[in-house]
Amino acid sequence: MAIRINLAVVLAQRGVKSKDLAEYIGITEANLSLLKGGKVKGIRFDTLDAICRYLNCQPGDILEHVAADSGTD
Amino acid sequence: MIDTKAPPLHTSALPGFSVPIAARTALLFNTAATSAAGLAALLPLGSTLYWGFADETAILRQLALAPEVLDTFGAMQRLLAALITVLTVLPLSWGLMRVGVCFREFAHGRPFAPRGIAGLRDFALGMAVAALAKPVGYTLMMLVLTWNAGPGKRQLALALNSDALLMALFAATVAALAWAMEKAAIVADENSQFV
Repeated sequence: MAIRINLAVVLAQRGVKSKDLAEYIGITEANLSLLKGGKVKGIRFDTLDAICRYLNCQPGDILEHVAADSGTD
Repeated sequence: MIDTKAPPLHTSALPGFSVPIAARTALLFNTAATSAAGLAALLPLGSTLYWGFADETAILRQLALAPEVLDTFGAMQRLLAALITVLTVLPLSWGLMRVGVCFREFAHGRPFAPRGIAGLRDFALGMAVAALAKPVGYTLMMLVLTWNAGPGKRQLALALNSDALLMALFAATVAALAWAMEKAAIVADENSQFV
C-alpha cells in the first residue's frame, strides 16, 4: 500500500505558505514538513479537515493512492 | 509518500518531548526521587551502623534467640552480620536508585521515557531479588550468630515470613505496571506519528 501526499503541490498551486497553513491547523511547521514529505504514519481527520478548509480542496487532492508496482515514489 | 513500513519514531528521541506537568506535581516527583536516593543510601549505612553498635540484648531480642547461643559475639561476627545484612538490602538500594530515575523523568513530564520505564522495571527487579535474599540472609545470619555457641546449640534456621512474600508480590505488581507502561509508550510513539 502506498499513499502519496500531494500537499506541497496543492500549496504551490494555491500560493499558500507552509507557515500560514501550519498556524491555521495548529501544528508545528516541522510536523507539516513531515506530512508534506510523507514521513508520518497517518493524518488525523481534524488535520485533514483543516487543510481542506484552508486550501479549499478535497481530501483526494491531497492524498493519492499509488499501486505498489507502479514504480513511482 | 507515506511510508507505512517506516520504523516508529521514538518520542523519547525527540528533543524536548514532554507533557505539561504542574509545578506542584513536579516537586512531588522530585521529592520522591530524592527520598528514594536518600533511602537507598540509608539502608546499607543503617544496617552497618546497627551491627557495629547494637548491643547483644537488642540482637537477641530482635532475632528471638536464647542468651546462651550468643555467648561470644565478637568483631568478626559483627562484621559478617553487617556484611550479610548489607548484601540483603543492596538489591533494594539499587532498585530505589533506579526508581529515582523514573521519578525524575515523571517530574520532567516524560512519563513514557524508556529511561523511566527501565528504572521502574529495575526497581521491581531489585525488590524481587531483595525479597528472595531475605530468607537466605536470615539463614546465614543465624548461622553466623550462633557459630560460637556451645555444642548442639548452633542453629541453621529457615524462615519465610509474610514480609518477604508481600515484598515479592509488590515487586510483581510494579513489574506488571512497568510492562503496561512499556506497551503504553509504544502506543504513544505510534500516536505521536499522526499529524
